Amino acid sequence: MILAVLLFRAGVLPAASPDVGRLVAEAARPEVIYADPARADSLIGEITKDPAGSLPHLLALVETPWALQFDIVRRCLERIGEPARLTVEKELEGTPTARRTALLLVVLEKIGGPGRESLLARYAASAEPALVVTSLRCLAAFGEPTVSTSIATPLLSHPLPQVRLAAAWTLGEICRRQESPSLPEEALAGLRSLLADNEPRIRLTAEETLAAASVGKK
Amino acid sequence: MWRAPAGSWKRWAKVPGKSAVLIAVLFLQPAARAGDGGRGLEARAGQALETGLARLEFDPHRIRALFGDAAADTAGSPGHRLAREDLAGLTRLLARTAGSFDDKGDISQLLALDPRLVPPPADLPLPGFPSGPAKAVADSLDRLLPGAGEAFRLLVEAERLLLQAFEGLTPDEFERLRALAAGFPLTQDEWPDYPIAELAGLASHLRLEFMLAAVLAADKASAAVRRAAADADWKLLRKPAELDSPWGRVVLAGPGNDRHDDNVFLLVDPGGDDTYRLSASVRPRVRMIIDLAGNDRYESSGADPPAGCLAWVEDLSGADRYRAGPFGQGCGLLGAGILVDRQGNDLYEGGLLCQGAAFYGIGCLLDVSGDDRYSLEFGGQGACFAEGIGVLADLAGDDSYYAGGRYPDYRETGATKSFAQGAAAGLRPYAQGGLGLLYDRGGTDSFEVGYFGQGAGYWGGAGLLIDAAGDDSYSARRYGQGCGLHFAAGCLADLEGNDRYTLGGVGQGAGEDRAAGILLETAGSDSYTAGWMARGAAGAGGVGLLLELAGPDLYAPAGSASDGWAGRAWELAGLGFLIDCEGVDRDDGKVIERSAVRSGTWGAAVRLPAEN
Repeated sequence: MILAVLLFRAGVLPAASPDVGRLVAEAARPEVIYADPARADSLIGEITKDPAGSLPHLLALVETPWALQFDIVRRCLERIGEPARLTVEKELEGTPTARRTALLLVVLEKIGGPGRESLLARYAASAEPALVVTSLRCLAAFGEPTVSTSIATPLLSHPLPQVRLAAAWTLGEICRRQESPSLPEEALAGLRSLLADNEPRIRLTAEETLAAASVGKK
Repeated sequence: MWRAPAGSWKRWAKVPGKSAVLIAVLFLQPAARAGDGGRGLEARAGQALETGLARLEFDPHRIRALFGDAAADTAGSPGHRLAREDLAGLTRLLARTAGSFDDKGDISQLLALDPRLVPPPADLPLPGFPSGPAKAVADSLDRLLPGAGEAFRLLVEAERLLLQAFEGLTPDEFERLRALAAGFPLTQDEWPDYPIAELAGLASHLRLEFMLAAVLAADKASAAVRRAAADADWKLLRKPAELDSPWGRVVLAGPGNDRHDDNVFLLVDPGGDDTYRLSASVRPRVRMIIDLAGNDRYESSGADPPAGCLAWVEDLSGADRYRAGPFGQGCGLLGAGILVDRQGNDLYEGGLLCQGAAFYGIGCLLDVSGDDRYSLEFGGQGACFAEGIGVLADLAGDDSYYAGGRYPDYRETGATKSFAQGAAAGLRPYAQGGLGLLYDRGGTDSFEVGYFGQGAGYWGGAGLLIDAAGDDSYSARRYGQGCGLHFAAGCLADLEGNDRYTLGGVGQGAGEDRAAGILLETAGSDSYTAGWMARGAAGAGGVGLLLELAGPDLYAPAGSASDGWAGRAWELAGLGFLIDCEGVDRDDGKVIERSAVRSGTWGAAVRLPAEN
């Protein structure tokens, strides 16, 4: 499978096989994806019956501009599971374009797992806000709590509101995943400062996160 | 070179400058409506919103969508800019817009809604053209119909401006663009098999501001013809007169029942029950038809749009019938299409992209009076795809509007797409949206769509439906009645009357994915029936608001995610509010008054007491 990926990256394999592309397009038709979800699911099964064979072609389709096709691709990668995760993480370790990185992070959110927080930390420090936000969402979904908290906390004071919002929400999600949530004082202080943020959604999210962090402490 | 009809124009030279008006009512000027003007309504709506939200300790001036980088493609679009307004600002803007139109049937006022669409300066130098032939034709026309020469000169100017709109494209590029636009599968959700990137790339060279300037010049020409016609002694004009010119034929028709085509630069028909066959021809590039009286029929044929043109059809009186397949009745596809009907009970039947519809252009249908019926298959009644402005304005009468019935939407068995009645969408992800407006000024009206309409915006589009008076009924299946999706804005404002709203789901003030959806009701005893995600509902960073300013209202039990509800996707929480400011309201037989019900952190339904 790694050989397939390497061949794909070397441009030896076609960007997307006609069969995978055709099946993805078929599954993404409104009369299938909306009106016949069983058929859409069946097509996803057909696409992914050979995970090693279909994976490079699916990854080539990640950058499709069509939302419905992207949805099918993401569902296929989710169906493939671990091999897809490894391949996506491997690619993220390189230097894909910002747009491709953001899309891969959207995929990773559904198939990722703890242990790759350092990779996500790299993108959380990006100058591209889309990469920061999508990496925070990954941390919120599956990041190891302590490490993820340390990555998100400094972003509470980011100049961009969408990043501050994502950071505050991420800390909340981390707390909500735990039976006995706990945030370090630095994070709590950052959240308290957001209670006076200019943006009301940030204020409300910080309030929610502080409430989530105090669960079980009473 | 022009030529005068043999022997006839000597007779026209004796026509007196002024004479009896042919038609008793050429200008229908309803009395100005008493009540709030735009500013008063704006203040009331703003105050009501602030009072309601203050009860919930929300700051109405700071509630707006947050956008990530994905918004870059729509950043300048009208829908995105509206959705970025703080909630109080957006509500006040909607109220001011709703209350600002007057009775005069002024097209320029309707077309001024998109601030990006500003005509170039009047003194902008344009490529020159020989003025001699234009003056000679105008002078001859003045001898036939005094005052009409001014209209001719204005239409010549309109053509000069129109040509500037396409100056950035070579002839081959324009033909390619025309073919791509004509064949574009508008009724599909996405277009993976279509060269849409090429289409959007070519269209980016269009200059819509010159198209607007051409329309405004034609508007003045229309006014000049109407003045001339009002002053003319039509009894002396028994026989048709025709002038040839480099710009096309100029025809003054007779009073009988005529059959005309639109191979004209200017045609004035004084009376009779006439039939007009409107084609997809691209020549003449500018064509104006003005029919003064009679019960006329207008039929548009052909599958191709008259792209690259400015087509103006105006009927001053009579009970008229308009039928078009695709691309008619005020359709601006790579051009401008204007249809004005000033009097009579009219019937409009259209297929695809009709009745004030635009696709990289300007489309406007203005009906000044009469009880009218509008039916459409898809894409119109004030709708815009990609960029431009599509407007349908009906200023008086009891009207009915129906759109849909042909193109299925697979999200629901039996449902069809409408995309009408104040609807606008960009071409995701290639083109920002434009502005779609349906404005009905009075009368008891009925509005019906299937999927997407009645104040609905998608991917940067701004869709507005404004009804200023009368007891109206609104019916939509999904995505309607003030619904914004994906960086867009959809707003419905009804200013008067006892109205009835019925919706299957997602609307009546619903915003999803950093979009805004507002339903503003300012008076009357209204009833609301809705399925799911309705009546002040928002998800994923959107804003949904149903703002009821006055009157006892009935809220039938709604489905899930309704009545001041907010959901979220990731960190993007929606903000959903239902605020009813006055009157005793009923919900399933129960009286609701003086209540504030929170839906989690982000949603609420507030009923204020009458004295507020």
